[in-house]
Amino acid sequence: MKVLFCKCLAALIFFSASSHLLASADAYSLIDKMSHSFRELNYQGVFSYQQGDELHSLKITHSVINGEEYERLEHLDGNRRDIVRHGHGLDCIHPGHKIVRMLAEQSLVESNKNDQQSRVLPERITNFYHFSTVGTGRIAGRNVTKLLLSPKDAHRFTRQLALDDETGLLLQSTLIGQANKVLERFQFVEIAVGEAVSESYFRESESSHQAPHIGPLPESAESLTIDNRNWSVKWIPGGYTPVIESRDSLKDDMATFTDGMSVFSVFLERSNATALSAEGQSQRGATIAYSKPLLLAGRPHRVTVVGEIPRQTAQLVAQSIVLVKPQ
Amino acid sequence: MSEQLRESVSALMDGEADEMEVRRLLVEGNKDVVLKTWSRYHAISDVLQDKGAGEQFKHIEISQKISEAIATENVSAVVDKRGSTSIFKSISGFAVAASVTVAVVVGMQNVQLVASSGVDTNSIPAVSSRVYLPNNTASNVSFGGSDSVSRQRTLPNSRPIPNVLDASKVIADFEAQKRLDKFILRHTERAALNNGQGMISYARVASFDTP
Repeated sequence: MKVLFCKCLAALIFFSASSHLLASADAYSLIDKMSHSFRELNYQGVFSYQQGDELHSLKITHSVINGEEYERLEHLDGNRRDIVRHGHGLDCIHPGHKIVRMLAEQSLVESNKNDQQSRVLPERITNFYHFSTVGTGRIAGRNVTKLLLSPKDAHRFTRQLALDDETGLLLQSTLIGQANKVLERFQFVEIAVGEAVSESYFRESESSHQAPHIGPLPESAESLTIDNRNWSVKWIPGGYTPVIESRDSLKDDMATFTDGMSVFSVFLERSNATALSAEGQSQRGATIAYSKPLLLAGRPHRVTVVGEIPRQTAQLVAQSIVLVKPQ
Repeated sequence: MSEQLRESVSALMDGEADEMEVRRLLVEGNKDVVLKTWSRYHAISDVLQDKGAGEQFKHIEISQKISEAIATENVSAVVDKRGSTSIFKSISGFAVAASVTVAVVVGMQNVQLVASSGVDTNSIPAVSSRVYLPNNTASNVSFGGSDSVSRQRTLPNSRPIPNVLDASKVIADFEAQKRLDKFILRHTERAALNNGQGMISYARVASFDTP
């Protein structure tokens, strides 16, 4: 009887453990699918975007023409404004995507990892988020699988994602901060997938803002560029990787980091105005901007951290700025 | 005399004027002072109660007028040499100017500036409004010395201070907001390439003034 009980228990433990692994593996492959589909598919849809207490409606159009992404995002409320972006080749993979796309590979490659490769790899996103599938549902008339990404530390927000079963497109996303407070939510109302829109639709109009495409730097040049910057961020939370743009367009005053989901940027300016001597912060939805004066090499500077990260994290990052070369 | 009248106007506004005061206010010879005081006090109360919300730049003119009026009051207080009460008035005058500034700035901005890290920021709402702590005003309040000669010397210089302060604060706030919008845009340009949400990230950006 006792043996039978133990066997049952062992079976139960094994079953629950394997189903947990299964759930994670499902979540990983869904996330991986998402990281491809939003760039590689043609789609056009309307979504609502809630930022704190505000609600906006926007229309997004995405087409792949000759291997390049063409995108247009239009605000449907208030003043006419839209953002267009093109010239982003599908083969151009940024550090954030790399982290996410490696997720699926990581879970397979786990056993036979090779030392040299693991040094190049950014830290695993799974060390910092717990991934789980939490159910199914229907968004914008399509069947979705819901994922929960709960952070394992205090330096990122909880995310609820709903991914289209058919295409993997992200149809709903909710960012949750401290005390389960919803900071921002976006959700498709309607989406059509598969039809390409002609190139002329993506031409700029008077109300357009052209979003630049900043190419990622080849890995060989990365260290060189970091050294060229005369200041450095001494502390960043685990799991965040620097995003480095090409050396030509490198602006000395900005550094960006991502964990594949969240992104934050640090700006350093020389300041001379005493009027700006106050510490300040602004929060809009999930985006925090924290600004702090500091004295570097005896000169007044101002550091500003902007990103979708908790306030305390932004403060810690801001406090860790140092000059590495005299200006 | 005009001081008494102003007090009566204030009492009337609060519904506390007695019959004598109402009669005094209705005397034809007092018309100018009464009307001026009446409209000024209403302007102050409107600003403090934020009745002008929506008319974004109305406050600039109002606060200027209030500041001018306050400055005039200070001069007259010095002229009639009533020692301690006039010191109080010059301080309270600036206190009014300071609180008008606070009300105006709170009403119009949406960035929170924290004067010191000791302020509890856990309670900020997701869409927060700017709270501006007028730390400069404190030092300006303290100039009023007890001897009227020194005050007479400082007053002509101090007269434009409230206006200059108001304007420079509004400009500084505006500049800070623009700077911040630029940073948020530049951040989003990179975020959109790295956070797996693409162009949707731009929904976060409120302003597209080109950097």
